[in-house]
Amino acid sequence: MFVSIVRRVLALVPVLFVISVVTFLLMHSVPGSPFQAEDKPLPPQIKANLEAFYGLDEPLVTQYLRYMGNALRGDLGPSYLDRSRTVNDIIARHLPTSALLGVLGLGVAILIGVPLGVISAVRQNSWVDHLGMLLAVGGVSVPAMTLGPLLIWAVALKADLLPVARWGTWQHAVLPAITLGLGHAAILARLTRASMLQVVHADFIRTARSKGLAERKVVAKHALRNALIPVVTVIGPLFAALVTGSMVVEEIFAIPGLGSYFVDSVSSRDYPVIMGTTLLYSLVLVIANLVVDIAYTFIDPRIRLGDA
Amino acid sequence: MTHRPPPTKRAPALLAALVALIVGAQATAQELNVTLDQNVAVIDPTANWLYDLTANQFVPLVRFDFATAEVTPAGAESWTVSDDGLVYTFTIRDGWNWSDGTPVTAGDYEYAFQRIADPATAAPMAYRIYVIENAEAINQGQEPDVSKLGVRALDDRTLEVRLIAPSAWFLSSLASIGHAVPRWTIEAHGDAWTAPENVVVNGPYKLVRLDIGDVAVLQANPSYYDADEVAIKEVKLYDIPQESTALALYEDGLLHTVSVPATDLDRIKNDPQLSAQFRSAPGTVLYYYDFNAMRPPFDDVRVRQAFAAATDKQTIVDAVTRGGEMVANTITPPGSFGHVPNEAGIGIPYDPERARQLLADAGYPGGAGIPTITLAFNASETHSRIAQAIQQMWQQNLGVTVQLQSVEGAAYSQTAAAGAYGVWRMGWGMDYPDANNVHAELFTTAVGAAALYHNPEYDRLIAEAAVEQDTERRAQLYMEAERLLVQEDAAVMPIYWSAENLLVHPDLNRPNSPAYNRDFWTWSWND
Repeated sequence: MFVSIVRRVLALVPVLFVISVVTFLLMHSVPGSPFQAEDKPLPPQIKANLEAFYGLDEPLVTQYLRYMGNALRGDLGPSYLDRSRTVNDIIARHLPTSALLGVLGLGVAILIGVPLGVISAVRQNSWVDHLGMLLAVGGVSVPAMTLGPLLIWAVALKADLLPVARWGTWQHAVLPAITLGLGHAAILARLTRASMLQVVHADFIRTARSKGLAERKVVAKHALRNALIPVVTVIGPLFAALVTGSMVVEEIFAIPGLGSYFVDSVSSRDYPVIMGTTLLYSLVLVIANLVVDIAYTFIDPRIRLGDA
Repeated sequence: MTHRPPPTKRAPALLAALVALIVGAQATAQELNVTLDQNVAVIDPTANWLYDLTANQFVPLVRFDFATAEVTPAGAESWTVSDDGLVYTFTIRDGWNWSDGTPVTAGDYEYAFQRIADPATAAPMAYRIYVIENAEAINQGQEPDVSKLGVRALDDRTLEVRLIAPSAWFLSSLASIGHAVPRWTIEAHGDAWTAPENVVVNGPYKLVRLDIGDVAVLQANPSYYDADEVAIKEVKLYDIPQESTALALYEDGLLHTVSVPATDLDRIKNDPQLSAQFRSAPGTVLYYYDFNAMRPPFDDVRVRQAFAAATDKQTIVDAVTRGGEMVANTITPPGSFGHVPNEAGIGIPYDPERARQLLADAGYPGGAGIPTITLAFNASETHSRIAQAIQQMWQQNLGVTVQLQSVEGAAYSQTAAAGAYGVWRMGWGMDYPDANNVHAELFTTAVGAAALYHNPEYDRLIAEAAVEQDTERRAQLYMEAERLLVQEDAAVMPIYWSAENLLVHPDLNRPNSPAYNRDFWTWSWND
């Protein structure tokens, strides 16, 4: 087991290398420049000065090698939008906030989604099932962009129960975590239900029932455990996405997270920030997938941690 | 949290009163909570020149008073201009120190301009000082010695600025460029010189805290020359990316003033309490369409005029944008020198009948034979809605087929300037309140990058207006230039001038003029 994990961790290095090359080439090949005002093109000489300042006038290979050399030494470079800030600073300042919000959102998604899916599957075609799936479809259909302002209006402004926005206390986290988690809860609920339905009709469940096991035990111990495998598969990438920040939720609630940097850096061609956030996301994603793979072995001992 | 009573709610008001009682009421009249303008936390005046954290910490040579449309003293208490309009001599204020106790001198301004011109600084706005002797050569690397720049400190209080051509707009442009910066701090800390623990300022406020993405705190700087006049002692600038969230925070009592998003205007205007706190004033941003005059069918002036005459701008403003914008028939926004009001009759009014006639004259009767028109805009909800309305107007009034093209932002202005589209959307916010800013930077051949328009006569008018010393004659020149640009050549189609829609706490004196006043030292609370 330990050797397998070490092997898998080592396999991350070439993956990240390939991602860095592809990202670097992609961002330099799309048209547009980091030094481009929206209202008029920058005079050529001004642009040339800026490009020289950031070393963008050198050949791509040189730029890439310089970037990776610095990155390996832990220096992810400056942000083109604000010279006084480095990418290290941006990640150090905003990742913890995003990560906390992401974990809370994921918690909401799992705590609501999985039980809802199980209940719906166990009581298939009953009113509980229909209500649960109605909620799930609703949850998927109402985007955070709508749900967030709605919650602010109803819970914070009208009922005056929680803060409107910003970050700092546990009260501040409630509405954003719900906004972030609810849509994913709906997805998990549907997935859990479908997976459970497959499992409850399997032979071994019939066997368990015929042995006279209590229904609760059949569902919790035998059915759910097997039904969870596809759910856990989804939770891995979901974890990576949520923990590295959600732009929509963070912007609605004015939370100083990392989410907007993913999107804004691309639209403003802030190359070092694009590289930094992409590599960070890739790293979290591959680690989350590794953790998922390890989790499989606990859920279902027949699964072994392979090399790939 | 705020110690001010929230504008709408009773119970929190009582609570706030209670809090005020406990913490001491006298602190309340000196604090202000606002949003951080455009979420920009960039501070160095060389990289950024208009936003909150720069303008409130560093002092330019002069400022501009929109109420009187006059240049007023700031870092310079007075100045003289030579008869030929080429040499400006500024007298820097006496007995005024940086926040670390160092006296502010003419040398600080000399350094600031040298730093902008120096190509190693890579200042994005350096081209705006190219009118200064040797600035262009230095910035383009042809003159390696920055001390050759035509900005010299003759002694601690005298700054001489030499221009390459007399420029009537130059003085007002100094209100937004060339703020003195502390050389010793920059040299000691490099790019980190603007961090709260390092920054040394000479302006009304000093940054004491900067939590990016959350809040920046400015405190009154006692070493500022007018420190006694600064009523608001502490300003908290909250970074709130969504306007609707900022509005909710205003209604909740945290923020003391906010911009109102267009989607909430109706609700605010109909709300018995909030409507009393609402105000709208003309802004300084122009929204316009460029025609590609280099390519058929828009190489024919009659086609351009036809499309302009087929555009019902009043409907755009009343039914689409709905933010109190003002229909623009000319370029320069109100409040700037050289603005030509719509009443002057310049520009192309909405006249579908005439539009059809013009199109027929150009050889496309009823739109027959005209190729499909590409109308491009940089991806945004508002731009898209405006484009859809105009698409419909053109199809209905002219019988043409218009294809909309939403373009991702970073490549947009460059692709447009390369002539990729038939018509495209553009905007311009004034950097300084003079027609030269918008005309010279957007439409003359010399810069020529924004619009595909080349008319030597227009170029001549703008060049002449730039150096004309007689104000009336100058205004006349801009009027002629407008007539050429938007009417006779119809190279561009102005659509509207923006409006500033604000909610302001009933007890807050936020000066109304200029509309977009973020000079917190001029704000105050009613007692």
